[in-house]
Amino acid sequence: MLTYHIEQKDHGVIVYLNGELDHHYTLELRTKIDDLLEHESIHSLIFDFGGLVFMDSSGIGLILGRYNKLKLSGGTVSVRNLTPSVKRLVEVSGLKKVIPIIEERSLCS
Amino acid sequence: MKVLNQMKLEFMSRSTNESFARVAVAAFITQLDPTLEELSDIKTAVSEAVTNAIVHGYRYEEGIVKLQCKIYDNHSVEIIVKDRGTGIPDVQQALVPLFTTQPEMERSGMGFSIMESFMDKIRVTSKVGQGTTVKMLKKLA
Repeated sequence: MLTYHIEQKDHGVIVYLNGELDHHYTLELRTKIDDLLEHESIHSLIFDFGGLVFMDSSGIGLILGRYNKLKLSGGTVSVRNLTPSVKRLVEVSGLKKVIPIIEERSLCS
Repeated sequence: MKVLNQMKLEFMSRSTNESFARVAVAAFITQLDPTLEELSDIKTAVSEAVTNAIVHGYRYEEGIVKLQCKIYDNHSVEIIVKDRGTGIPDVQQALVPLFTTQPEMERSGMGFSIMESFMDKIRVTSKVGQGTTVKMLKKLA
């Protein structure tokens, strides 16, 4: 089960994810995010994984897809608040080499 | 190696069953008292294999995915995911990281690489027109 909410402030978007992100949920989420990217001038997209307990390579595909899209317009994609299992996937998949990980709120939240 | 316990599941190739499959396997292997990391690794590998069966094997069409899980007496787990879908023409190519036949669907091409990293052993057998079987083994601490 995945729940999410999307917050937009000026040219930035934060996608908060809770639960499990797999192939079943990627299409819906992708449509929601792309809708924003196409209609608003978005320069920064952040995925907040604080509540995400599971992700597989479908999630990697979703992030890379948004990265490729935003790259064209000079925008950036980053991820933050990775739980241990999601962190392991981000490392093993090589996503870490492409997408910056914001290490905020890690010790002093 | 002796089989201590095993289970078999059959389910339709619907994407909702991706979470069902990994949760079912996780529940079955709790008898081995896995660490959180081992559990998470196995769930991820199952999710990758089942998603492959649904999106590549059956190409989003209806079919039956078979999942088998065996627990051996040396504290290891074997997982077999089988479809009777389209099959893979070139298995070696499919195993190459980032290779995907569905870039437009934003498949990352990392499924097999992740299964290889998270499990100890993986064997893929496939025949075009007959389907694909993925066999994975992991020894727990």
